[in-house]
Amino acid sequence: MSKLIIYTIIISVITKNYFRKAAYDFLLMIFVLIFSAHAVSANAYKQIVPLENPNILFFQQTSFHDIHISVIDINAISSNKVEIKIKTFYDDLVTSMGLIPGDKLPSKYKGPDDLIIKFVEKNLKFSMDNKAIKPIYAFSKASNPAIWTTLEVDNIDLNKIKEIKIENTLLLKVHDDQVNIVNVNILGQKESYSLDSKTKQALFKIKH
Amino acid sequence: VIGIYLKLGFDHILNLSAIDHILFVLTLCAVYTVGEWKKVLILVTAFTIGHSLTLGLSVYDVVHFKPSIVEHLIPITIIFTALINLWNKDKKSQSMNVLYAMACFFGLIHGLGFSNYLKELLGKEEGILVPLLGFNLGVEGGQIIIVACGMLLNYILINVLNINPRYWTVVVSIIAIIVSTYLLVKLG
Repeated sequence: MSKLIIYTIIISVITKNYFRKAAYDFLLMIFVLIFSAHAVSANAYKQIVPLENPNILFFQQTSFHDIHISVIDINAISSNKVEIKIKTFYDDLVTSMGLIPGDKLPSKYKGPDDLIIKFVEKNLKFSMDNKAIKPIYAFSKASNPAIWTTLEVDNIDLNKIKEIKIENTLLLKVHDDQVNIVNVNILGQKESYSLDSKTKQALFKIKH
Repeated sequence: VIGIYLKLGFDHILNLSAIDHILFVLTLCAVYTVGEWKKVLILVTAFTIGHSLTLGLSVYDVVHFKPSIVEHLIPITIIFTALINLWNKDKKSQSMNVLYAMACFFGLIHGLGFSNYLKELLGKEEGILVPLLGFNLGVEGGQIIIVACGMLLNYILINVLNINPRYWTVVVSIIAIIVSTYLLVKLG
């Protein structure tokens, strides 16, 4: 193919107007074909696998999304309770656990909630003043194609805590361009972080 | 917060996986040369206005389209734009106002594409306006860069390599048709 293009260029340079025009046409045609093939192979649209087993599903997946983001909202409900809301796309979550969206949930998981708990444990780590904390899973709520999971941290005294560290590796292995947004709102202090495969940690300092 | 979403929108558009969006913007402006930059700017702005309208409408749940319909409409609008480029050999015969209206209408449809699922992810009641606004502005910024690159290439082809301006229009439009048809077929 590349030889053909080179020959065409040489011919178009040597020959006069009429042939040159024909050669341009030919070159353009080749260019169009190559570019189209390339663009098509870039797989711009994701293949949708319909989810069939209602056991794994909270909803029937009908739409695709081509933005690869997740959002985590960390809010203080009172001075000793923090709520963590994790918002992801459900098909991404399933894929990152090594499953295929639409397939049956393997028996090692007790149910969809169990899968989500393992997903969170694997990818999210929190610590307050360098002490690891383990949030308690509350519930999940789905709205096609997204899923929201709520975690809670109890029995803490936010008035004494100086910093909160979040380590977030959600979906980094699923998409190269995954961006994980973390919004923190504690004691009226707000901060947002944009995490990705280069920056996986966010450090929130509380001013007292 | 707005900065995060601004960058997200910008990166989203300048990415090979947003090929449908890139193609649409290029196709929309494929008829024009550098000298007609004012028309191009108005066209892109019209597209932006369409985007922003969708943003407002979808936030307040005024309109609701099935995502699958939007997914099909996007490639169709691209093919339509490309066909107009191919049919209209004499661009002076076209009314610019009709084209601006068309760009605005298509912007509306394209905006629906990501407003839908971003809304589900971020939540309807939790201050979605700022993220969506940031995202849209980022997308517009990326679009202007794409158009600028397209115009630069167009300028080089016409003024340096002495190629007939019509070639650019035809090549961009045909690529857009091929890729969009493929996307449509794949969506089923």
